Amino acid sequence: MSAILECRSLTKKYASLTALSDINLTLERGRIVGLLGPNGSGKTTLIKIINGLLVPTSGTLTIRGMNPGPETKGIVSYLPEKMCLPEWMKVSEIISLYEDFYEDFDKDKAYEMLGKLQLDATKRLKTLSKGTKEKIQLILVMSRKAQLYCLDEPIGGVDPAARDYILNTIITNYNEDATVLISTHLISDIENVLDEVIFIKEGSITLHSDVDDIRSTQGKSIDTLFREVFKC
Amino acid sequence: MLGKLIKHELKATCRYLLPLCLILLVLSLVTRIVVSLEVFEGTLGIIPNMAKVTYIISIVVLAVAILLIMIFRFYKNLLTEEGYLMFTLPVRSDRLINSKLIVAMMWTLAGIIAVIVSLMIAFATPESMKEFFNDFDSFMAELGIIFSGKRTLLIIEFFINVFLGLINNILLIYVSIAVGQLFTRHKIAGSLIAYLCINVASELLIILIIVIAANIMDVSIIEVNTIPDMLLPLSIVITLIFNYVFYYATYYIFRKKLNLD
Repeated sequence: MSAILECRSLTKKYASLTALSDINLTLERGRIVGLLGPNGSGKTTLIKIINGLLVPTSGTLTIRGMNPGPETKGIVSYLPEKMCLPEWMKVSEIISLYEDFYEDFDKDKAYEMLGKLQLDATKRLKTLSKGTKEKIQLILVMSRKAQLYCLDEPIGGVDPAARDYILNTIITNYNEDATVLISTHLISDIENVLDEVIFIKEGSITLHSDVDDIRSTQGKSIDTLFREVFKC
Repeated sequence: MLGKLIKHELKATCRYLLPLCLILLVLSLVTRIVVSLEVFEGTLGIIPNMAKVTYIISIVVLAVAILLIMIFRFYKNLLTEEGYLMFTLPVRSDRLINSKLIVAMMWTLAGIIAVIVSLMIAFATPESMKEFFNDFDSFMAELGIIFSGKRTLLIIEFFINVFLGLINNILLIYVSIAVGQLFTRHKIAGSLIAYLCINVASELLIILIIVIAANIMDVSIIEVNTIPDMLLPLSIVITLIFNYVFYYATYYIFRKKLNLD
């Protein structure tokens, strides 16, 4: 099966620091991948490059063989770490915006998820709480039949009950052809859903492995391993 | 995709600007009625004047609102958190600039039309319209005499200049905002400084071009025909070049140097 994401010597430098240095990475289809690392390790930088919000300093990153651009944005569904939906819009208006631009957007699915969480689509975003807005943003992202989902800290700002719902949403809504890349530092919450993990530290990948392999060869949980590797 | 972007941009701007246009038209009607009543005596005579003042204020408010919303939409929708949404839509980033520019132009023209219509609602009478058209005809006749056969050329060149000039003002603001976001902090201050610098630099450049052009072409005798033959075409070319540079710089920054917080 061909790779969905490939990085070759990917490097991103800012004026004063190197955010990513010489990353080589291949992600296959149909995997749930945890991108794990402490704050400032380069997780968001990598995800921003995947989504065309940053341009690499050197090296390449391709999605299904294509450089990030309008074509790849049509097949990558991105949940930024920030709340990025226009506050003045109603939930229903944002849904039609997604429907307008993304061919793979499934409106019925979005309304179904809204219904399950008892969220009112006629409300304007600015009237909703922070947690509710995050749920809506996640619903929009997961209502696309994308080939690659990039979720940047999807469970950071919501309560544990919602966290379970969100993870459940992620697992049940992605198809077997698609890959989900989840960046987080809340490892214990998500480690049970992951197929593979990437440890990233100071802009370099220190580990990229199958979760089952880690458990069988190292005999410890990802959370424990993470705490050892990134011990301060 | 451009059509969809324009549709959404219109939706986002209509909620401010459409009510303002309607208020302007209503106030012009109120002004006409109040002024034509002629029942206000003594100190009450201030009422028609107040109506006129309110009406004029509403024109100013509309004009300022069109400008501010144009700036606000470009900054807020593309370069704050909303930028994460806009720049990950499956569209090329030049389409984002185009949609903003086209809608800004549409509102500028709509504003001009709204003001003309409201002026007619407020003040036009059959006599004044007749007078206006008479004045207009004699103005056109005079232009014809001064510029002999080049009147049409002059008018076309004039309107192309106005059109390109409007685009130029908008693109200058866009490129300044784009340059401002290159700064890690103080992006708005950066945009203002960029605006001032680019503005001064381009004016200096224009003066330089005019001086050089005047020297090369040796315009020792300034005739009226230099306006349609040289001045306006030169102005069109210069504005086109500036528009291209401003547009391309904005596009380049969006593609290569995007720096969303």
